[in-house]
Amino acid sequence: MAKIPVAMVVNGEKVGPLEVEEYTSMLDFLQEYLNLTGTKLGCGIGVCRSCTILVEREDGSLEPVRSCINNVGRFNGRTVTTVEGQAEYNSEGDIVALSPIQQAFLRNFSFQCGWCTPGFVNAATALIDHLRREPVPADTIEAVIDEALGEHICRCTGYVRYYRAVREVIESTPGLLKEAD
Amino acid sequence: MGKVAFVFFFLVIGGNVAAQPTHAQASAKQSPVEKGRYLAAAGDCVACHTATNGRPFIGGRPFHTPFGILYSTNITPDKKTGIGNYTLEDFTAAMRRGKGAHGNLYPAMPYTSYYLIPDEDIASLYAYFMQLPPVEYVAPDNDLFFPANLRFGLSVWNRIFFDKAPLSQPADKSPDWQRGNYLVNALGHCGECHTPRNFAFAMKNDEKFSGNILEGWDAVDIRPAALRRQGWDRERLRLLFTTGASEHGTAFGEMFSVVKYSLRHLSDNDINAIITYLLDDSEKMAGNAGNPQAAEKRYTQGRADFVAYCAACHGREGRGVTLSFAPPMDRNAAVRGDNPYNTIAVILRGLAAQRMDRTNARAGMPGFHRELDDVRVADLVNYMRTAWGGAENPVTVEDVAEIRRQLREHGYLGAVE
Amino acid sequence: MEGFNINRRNFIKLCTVTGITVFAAPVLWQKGKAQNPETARDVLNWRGAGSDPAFRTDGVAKVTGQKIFGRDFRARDMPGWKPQQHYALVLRCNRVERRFDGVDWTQLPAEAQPYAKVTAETLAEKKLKLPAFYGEAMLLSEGASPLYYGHAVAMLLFDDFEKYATAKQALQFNEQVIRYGAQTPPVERDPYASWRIIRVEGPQGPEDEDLYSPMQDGLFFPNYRDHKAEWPRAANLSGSVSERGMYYAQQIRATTEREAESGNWHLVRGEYRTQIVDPMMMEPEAANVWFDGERQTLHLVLTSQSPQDFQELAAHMIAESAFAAEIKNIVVHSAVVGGGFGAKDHSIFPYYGLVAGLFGTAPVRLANNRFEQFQAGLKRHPFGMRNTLAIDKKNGKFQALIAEMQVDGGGRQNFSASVSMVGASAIQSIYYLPRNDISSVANQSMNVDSGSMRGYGTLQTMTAMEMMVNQAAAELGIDPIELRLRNAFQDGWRNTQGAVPKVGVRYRELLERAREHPMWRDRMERKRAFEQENPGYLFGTGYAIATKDYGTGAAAPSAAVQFDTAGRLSMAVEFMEMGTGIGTSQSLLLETVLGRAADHCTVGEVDAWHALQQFQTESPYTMSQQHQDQQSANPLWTPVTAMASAASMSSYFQSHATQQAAEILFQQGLLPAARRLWKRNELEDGQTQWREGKLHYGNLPPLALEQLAAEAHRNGDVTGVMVHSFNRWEWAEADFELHGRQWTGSIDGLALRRGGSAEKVSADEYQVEKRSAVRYPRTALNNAMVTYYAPTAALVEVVVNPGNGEVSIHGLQNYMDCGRTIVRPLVEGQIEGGVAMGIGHALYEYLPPLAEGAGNGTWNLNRYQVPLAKHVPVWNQQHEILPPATEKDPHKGIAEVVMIPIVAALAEAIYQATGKRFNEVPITPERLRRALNPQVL
Repeated sequence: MAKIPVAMVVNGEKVGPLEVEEYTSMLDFLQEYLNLTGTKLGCGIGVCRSCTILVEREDGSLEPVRSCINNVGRFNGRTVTTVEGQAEYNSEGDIVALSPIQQAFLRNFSFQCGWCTPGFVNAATALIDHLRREPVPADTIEAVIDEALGEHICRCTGYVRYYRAVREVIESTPGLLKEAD
Repeated sequence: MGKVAFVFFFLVIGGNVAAQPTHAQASAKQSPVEKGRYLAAAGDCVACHTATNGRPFIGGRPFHTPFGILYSTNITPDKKTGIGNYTLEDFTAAMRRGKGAHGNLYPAMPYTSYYLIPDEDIASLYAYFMQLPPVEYVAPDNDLFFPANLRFGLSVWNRIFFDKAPLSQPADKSPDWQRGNYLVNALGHCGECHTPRNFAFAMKNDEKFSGNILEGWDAVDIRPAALRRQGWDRERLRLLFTTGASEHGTAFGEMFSVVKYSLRHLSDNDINAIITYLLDDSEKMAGNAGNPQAAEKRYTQGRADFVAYCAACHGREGRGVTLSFAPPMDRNAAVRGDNPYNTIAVILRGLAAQRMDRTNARAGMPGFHRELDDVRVADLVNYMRTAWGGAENPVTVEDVAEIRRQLREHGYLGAVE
Repeated sequence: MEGFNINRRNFIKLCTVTGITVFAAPVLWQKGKAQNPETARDVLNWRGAGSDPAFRTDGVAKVTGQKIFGRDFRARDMPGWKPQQHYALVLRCNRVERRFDGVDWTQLPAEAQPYAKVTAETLAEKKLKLPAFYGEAMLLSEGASPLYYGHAVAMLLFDDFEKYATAKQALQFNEQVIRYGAQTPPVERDPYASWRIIRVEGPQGPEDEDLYSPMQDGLFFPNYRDHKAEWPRAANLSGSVSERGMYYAQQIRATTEREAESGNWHLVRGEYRTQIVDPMMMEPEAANVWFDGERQTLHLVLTSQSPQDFQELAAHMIAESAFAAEIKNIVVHSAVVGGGFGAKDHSIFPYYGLVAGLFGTAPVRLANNRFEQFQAGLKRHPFGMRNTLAIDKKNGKFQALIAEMQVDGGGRQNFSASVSMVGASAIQSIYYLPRNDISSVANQSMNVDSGSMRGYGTLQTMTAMEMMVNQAAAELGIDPIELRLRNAFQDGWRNTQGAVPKVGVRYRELLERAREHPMWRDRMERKRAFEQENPGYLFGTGYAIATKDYGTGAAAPSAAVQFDTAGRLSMAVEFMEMGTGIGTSQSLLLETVLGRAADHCTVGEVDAWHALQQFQTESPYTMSQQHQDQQSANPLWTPVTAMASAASMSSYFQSHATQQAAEILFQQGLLPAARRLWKRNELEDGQTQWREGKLHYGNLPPLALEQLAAEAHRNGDVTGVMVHSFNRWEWAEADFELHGRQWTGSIDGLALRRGGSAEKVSADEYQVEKRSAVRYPRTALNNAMVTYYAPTAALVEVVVNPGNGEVSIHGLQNYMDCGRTIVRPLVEGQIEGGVAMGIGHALYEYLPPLAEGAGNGTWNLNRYQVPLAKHVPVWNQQHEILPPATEKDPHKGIAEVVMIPIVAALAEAIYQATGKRFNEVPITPERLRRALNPQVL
């Protein structure tokens, strides 16, 4: 068991350097070392997407990454957001505001058991971020949502209310859609 | 999949009649149609003549060639749009000489291999195809550049490049080998992908089976020594050909569909024959030439990246997790092979998810072309090849850059994230 | 909350089992920030202003990733626990045909050694045995043969995560770890259960007394020879229950053959098969268990759907073990369940967690990864059925149903007996059958065990029935909906068991709605138009209907509702939250009775019911009428104290208890206060009304709940009501003396609170009110099997790609009768989720049996295909929920039923599109491709 030093920014806070066994998955790192259990294990092999977290690219854009099939070393020096970092909190740690995606999921009763929710929150947030940078024609909205979320697995609500919620946010946020080409 | 047996086989080439040894227990009952159905699977006709929506034999699948886009044709017996009006002679001409009803066929149709198919098998195939349900369907028009768009040029091409050498039948080879030779070279038309092509898209027969880059993948060197070097033996090849996966690697890209639609439907005897031919009495390689310790020392970043990016699926020290999910890397054929192309291309492109059936499916692999630059990919590949492949020549940053350039140019990057 | 201290009110005593006291801890997540009223600003206020709530009560916690699920909690999250977290892993056999010859411990990496290795020998030494419900051989002994694929052989404990993770990576797929010896014959045992439901209607028809039925005559059982069921041979019209039964069974068969031969009856005959399905709930099972030796206490955090059952069985397990002397207390912490679908109901998993904890020197976490969950988690029972449906050619009326079912229960019995029974009793679907002979045998096998997964047998059998009906319609040339209308069951008629359903059935209405839908009416034209516009694709329309029985025949929900001096309502219910939104719906139920929704609802409450002081004796299913009569003289006796949670049960059963509690609170707490404030001695019954949060009565000044609550508290009136109820296809009814008057209600246990201050429901504030009389449903109703039904129908259009066999759903219209809906978006979410799961069952989800199956430990989602968004009608799915027929309509369970009709509707639509009829699910793309392209290898 070899250890590597791990340091990164998670939800705006500096983490590490910590000595971590090199084969530790990012999911396990979040859960066992940082006690951030909002990121969920569903399949552990990168299929179901419940473990999706966000990593900031160099240009500041957000990349959804599956934390179960990537070991912690991939995230060294990176800026990472998990579901716990999506709402706004005050200094006491109380929630003061939810993100537009979080609100839309609540409003639409998108989830039931809630296990897949963190993955959907992060992937949908990345989609909104992406559309802000590269708006798409309004008539492609269904395909765009499916491309971003189509691999996520939900067993309770059959996707209908997740998709509806994301569509609502896209349509009600200025600048994400453009006229059809 | 029923086990299909064969009685007697006569190979008829250029008037020479050679007895083809029997392979399975005699099954005199097999009709020409049934036999044709089996031969069509062995010839993997469905792979090319399936429409993009999956409808078998109606054609319309696009082929991106250096000369433009070709579409496969409708080979159902529809009189208007298919081969309904073909006589056996027409069919034979198309199969053997690339002579279609409306002129010469483009050599994407592997008549350059099928010319080796004997009359009896052609007749069975004809019987099979003519009784398929006819489907009226016209494939899109080919989109070729001048002068390739002129079909009459094809007769010139045929004259220059179509080398109709008969199937070799060395006397010292086993009946199994002879059968494999036929399946690999004629029906299986393996050379069409695995043999390099010249400027005119013709197979370079002097470099037969030495590997060829196609659609952004290396259709690997399948000559006996190369297969051995990649670590293949009878059992691993059998698994690869029947399930698409073995501890030595998985079939992906076009080879996956070859397994799915062709190889796994062949009889055990025919699979054995193919393997006998491919390995050609070559000796099993002793162990793995890799050196993990040296690799770890020499390629620290490469190892760190393997641990960070690859190990969660391919296991600690590349030993794998479980084959039903992902193959190990410490004995992977691509890593051990001489040509690093596929190792690099897979890392950059990723692999699409693929499903053989309900119980055999792969999740696909993300591509890392955004995150890993040429230097890191080179180091990663060198780490793997040194640790587990015993590679002699390290991959250079330029090698990776060139492959990345080609892949980007053809739009192969970004398909799987 | 600090360390465990019995003198404090952190944990509440639940029961004592042979010297071990079982405690329950408050549901973990409700300590979460989102529930903190100080921070509950508008954006976080679930109730909102509309008639439907703004969002789920647990929504904020779930959408922000708070710790709420059992799997989330680590030692350091648990107040008072030793913070070091230890980890356990289980080694399991991936084969069965050889003897287990021990574990090769040298496979463990040197740097990742466990500090404890638990094997069958260890368990024997400590006298640890599984509760009888789960069978024997918790860990397989060396020298024995595995009983089934995935049989556990050892458990390893590690004192840190890195060692655990390293060892797990080295061992999980390592073929060298478990040593196998000589070949042994497969393990074969008698079937777990056999059922036979024979009924012949009486001469006056459906409402008449039956000539023979289980309800009227009772049940009889076969003998087992060579592990196969052998039904009695003797048939005698005036003999015993079995002889008479066999007489009628033979008569039904003979009549069917005769009428068919003479051309009067049309027979649809076929073999129908369903696959092994993994529930694939998203949260794999986990347990965190701490044996606090110093305080002689065992703490458990579980992912169970049925913690109540676990508590009692676990206490017995420990009491009978060598740990009995070391453990005085068991504390079970329950949590929100991340999807269950029945897989976490009576799962064996928590017992492995318990054992791991017993041998741990710090809190031990046992958590399945998905491979392990596939290998060891409960499955849906595969059914093989040989069915014959006889239809009168003249009028299209069903005449007889003969069904023989073989059910594969896997390696442990679990709920196989009841699943096979429920499946058999459900095959009638919505139809009336004058004659039936249905047998069902639950067999042991070496597959992974099946349990109470969503559908509970009914999905399997009702789908077959619907397939038969669709086939009959085609063969008889009768419109499929018309054929259904002719045979639909009606109120007051008898089902295949001879019982009369208690909840009104509105099948005709559902059928007629679908008949008028353009998707149905114009189906031929729509097919023609689509296929013309999309050459090469095939279009088809299918319809099916199903009615799901729900309930267990021994439901025992509890509820408590109370208000504080400021009029804030809090409540507790026994059911767990499994994602269906029970916290939300139960809170909302208070609105009509008490003027507004609960401000706080504790779900999965286990402790407070202690105030009712109730006890149980024998199994409610097998007790005699005499036993029930004798015991019920004791006002604290009840047939069942607590029950497991099932999604479809909450809306009917739990709502009943909640409503009873709310109504009593209104009568006994708010009305007396209102009378005083309005200075009226009497208020006319039913003339008060809640409007905008205030209670109105004639022209008197409206009173706010705050005023009423303050007055009730001031005067020492009732401020909280706790009830327990019991349902054996009917509700138990009891009389109580309240304020000197006799009060009768559909409950069997009652406790009241006067004054009181606790924010949450707390046992010590309640005083039990002993009943003066009770009327329990007769024990004979156990033979009724099921009498509650909620129907759904699905009208679906599919497009089949004949090339690759892929089916896409072009349009879907759902119909359902769920009585009064409580929260519409929750119901719709349930429908959409049920549809998706039904699509998975119909088209994609499949596990092969035995060696290739889940028990070999290599299964995961790369192979097991669950529906993705692209497989379900995300944008083109409509629901029609029948408006309640009356204000008094019950709330009915729907979770399971929605997934049923879609399966047969898809099969029929595929037939209409392709001309291929499938009696076996799943109808995978591979099967369909093969069927449509037989010419291609």
